[in-house]
Amino acid sequence: MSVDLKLVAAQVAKGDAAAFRSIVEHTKGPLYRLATRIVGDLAEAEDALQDGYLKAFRALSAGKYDGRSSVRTWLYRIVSNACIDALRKRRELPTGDKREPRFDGAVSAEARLALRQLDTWLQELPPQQRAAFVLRKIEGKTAKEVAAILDCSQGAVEQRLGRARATLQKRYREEDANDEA
Amino acid sequence: MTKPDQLEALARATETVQPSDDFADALMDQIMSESVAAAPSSQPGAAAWRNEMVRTGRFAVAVAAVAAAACLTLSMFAQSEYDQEVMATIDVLEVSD
Repeated sequence: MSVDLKLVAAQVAKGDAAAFRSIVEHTKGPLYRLATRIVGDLAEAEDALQDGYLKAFRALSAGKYDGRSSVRTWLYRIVSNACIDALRKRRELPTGDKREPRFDGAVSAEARLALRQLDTWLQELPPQQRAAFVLRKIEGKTAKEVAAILDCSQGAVEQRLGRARATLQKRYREEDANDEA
Repeated sequence: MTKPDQLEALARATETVQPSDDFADALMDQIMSESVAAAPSSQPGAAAWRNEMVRTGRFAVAVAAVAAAACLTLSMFAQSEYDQEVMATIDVLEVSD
């Protein structure tokens, strides 16, 4: 069933907190997938997603959603930023306590393995580059969409992608050299 | 398989990642409790009275500040006019002397 998320957002802005459930139900799937792909860890992704939704609810309640971008793009931006913050925290405190994910009952073993591998591959990238790379190369968004989500110019997106590709290619070459040795 | 191919395979393998059904319930519990805590009390009582006092007090302070500034300006005007009058009188006296 298709729902006009802007109308629902307007309801939340008028004080109907329960209406926010409809926004969550219609966006939780792609946003959970996005968070797990950017962060690479299910528990951290869940925290980032919850944090993102809470920020979105507070912003809607305070009338801070201006409606210039779609609700989906706006939520993608908030969750991407929450994931970038989570990655920064991880870099600052790499030995932080690991907790178990709570909402991962529907995640297959194959997907868990893939997320772990993705996290290993992308761990050398700075958070901003990592988010841009995941949105463009894994999520399949256009450069324009990525720019709208990350709230930057398309040029900045291309620059981040170029740097990310250079880092990853260097890594591929090192891995190939190790395999041959 | 090349690395870009592997990347595509990882994208495909993570395509079906979904949170469990209780995710929305847990999130909404958190949101509703926050929403209730943030809502203003509808019962008239001491808190409402205090809020009204604070609001009125703020308004009174602003009005007093504006009145004080107006009085200061008025008194400076009056002082300046009085000084001019006095100086004019002295000039008249000096001329007549």
